[in-house]
Amino acid sequence: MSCDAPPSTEDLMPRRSRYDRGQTCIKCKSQRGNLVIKHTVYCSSCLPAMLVRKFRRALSTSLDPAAPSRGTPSRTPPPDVILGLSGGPSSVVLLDLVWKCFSAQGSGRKDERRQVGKVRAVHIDWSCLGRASLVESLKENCDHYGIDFTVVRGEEAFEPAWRNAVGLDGSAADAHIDLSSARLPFVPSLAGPSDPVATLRAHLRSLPTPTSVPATLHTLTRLLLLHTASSSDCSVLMLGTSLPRLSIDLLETVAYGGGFALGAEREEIVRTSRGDVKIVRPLRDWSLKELGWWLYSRQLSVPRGVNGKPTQALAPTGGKTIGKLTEDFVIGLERDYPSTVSTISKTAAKVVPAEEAAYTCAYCLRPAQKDATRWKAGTAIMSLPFLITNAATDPLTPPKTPPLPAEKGLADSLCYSCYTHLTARGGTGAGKIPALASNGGLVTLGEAGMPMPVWVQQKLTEEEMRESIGGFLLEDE
Amino acid sequence: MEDEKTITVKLVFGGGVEVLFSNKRNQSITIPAQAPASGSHPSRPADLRYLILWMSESLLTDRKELFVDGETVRPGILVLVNDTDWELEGELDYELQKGDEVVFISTLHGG
Repeated sequence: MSCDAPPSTEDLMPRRSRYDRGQTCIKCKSQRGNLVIKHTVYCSSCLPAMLVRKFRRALSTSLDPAAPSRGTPSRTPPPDVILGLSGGPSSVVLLDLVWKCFSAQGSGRKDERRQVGKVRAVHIDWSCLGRASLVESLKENCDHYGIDFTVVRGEEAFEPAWRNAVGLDGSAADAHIDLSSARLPFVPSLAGPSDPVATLRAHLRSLPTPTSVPATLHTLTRLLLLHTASSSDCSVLMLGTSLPRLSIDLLETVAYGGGFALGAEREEIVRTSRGDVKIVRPLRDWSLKELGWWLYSRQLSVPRGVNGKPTQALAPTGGKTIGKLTEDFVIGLERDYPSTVSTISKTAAKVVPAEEAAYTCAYCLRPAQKDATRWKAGTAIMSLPFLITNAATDPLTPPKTPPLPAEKGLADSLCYSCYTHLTARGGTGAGKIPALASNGGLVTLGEAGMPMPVWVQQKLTEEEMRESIGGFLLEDE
Repeated sequence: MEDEKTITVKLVFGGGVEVLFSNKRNQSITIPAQAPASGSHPSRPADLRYLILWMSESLLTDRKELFVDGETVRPGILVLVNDTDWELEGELDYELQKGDEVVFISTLHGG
């Protein structure tokens, strides 16, 4: 074969078959198969039962690992459930499966229907950032299934009235932080009450890198769903995260330095002000082909089109975010090496942190390791002049970054990942994203600091609390 | 109008990919029965490789990258030929027959 001639058919290696055995269904061993899943062939008669079983098994494992065997009456009342609907393919499949398995109309078995209590659906609407609203389509879908539907607007994360509505502590004022200091100290808000949409945009615009924007929206969506579930006294939040999406999220979490809470990406219990909420992902073992097959065989329509990703309008010009690069990698992997995508997820399930969590991150409510900001100070170059001076006086000393200033700030309450999103250096700034570039509101960074979501509040020290109520304390006799 | 030189197939779109095809979930199309030579592929009976090329040139108007990836479809789009995974039918090399139904289901949001 010469270098300049195009390869002929004889020169190419024979392509490996995408299925291991014959074209006969591996389950019934009689019919010709219709779908190849991880090199295994299934027919259209065996697929539905197999997929429902897969969904139920994942859900049972998540809800109650020590659940009694099938048919045995449960001794505890089933948990009420919130379904988080994005309007994408997997959330449509989740809605359909929940209806099929847990409603009398969906022909779910009576004993199996007891697995969950009341089911409600919640959608976080980000149309304030320029995307088409899916509210009407999703409402129609939920009405069709007879499932209650609630919409939470994305900007509610910056709406004090919503904070009170979901039962969060409303005594503290809106928090603003100073991004110019590594400690992220709280600063007084000079702008006064403002439009939540403008505050949301100011928050996103203040992020130091474009790649932090989709990650922050992901976190805000999760927290809005969590607080909504908590305020509705639902102890389970069910998400339609498929296997490739879970693998993407896991790799992204690692890329952002969130390895300490890696297990939470698969399954987590979050302590909120009104009780614990368990986040479960019963589609976490479903490949994209399984999702696609369910959509097709059940003739389900997907409200959010292929071009309707919520963060699409916020993509940086002339480059890809870490999230988009990871997604392209994993989705390509799923086509050619489907089992490897599963390996990513299963490997992450085995990772446990080396130490107990020191506290819960004030922003994402995930467990954080002790001195998360110290790690940052030791791994990132933050001050070049300091390094030059240090090297001149003691050239053998390895360069070290200066410790964070002693002042108190939000940095002490954040996990490494959230801290990185707020303080990453070298980025072009999220303000360069065209959709966020315009001010569009009253909040201007520099005057009021970076506005924070309503659940991020300045915690008073014991001394500060004593000082604030000092006038009402009785003196010791 | 179908004759010996053309072939009619039914296209079905789902999972949100229909927004790239004028929001029509079902379409019936007529294409040449013989695919012209292209790249390293000689002239041959119309196959799925040619169908995807034809669709990208004749049906897709905007954001082709959300459907096409080189000569095949973007990862994350499930392709079924007469209700069967195209991986069982030879994928791009499957020769189209008159009246075939080809389904494209997107499982991604895109972006």
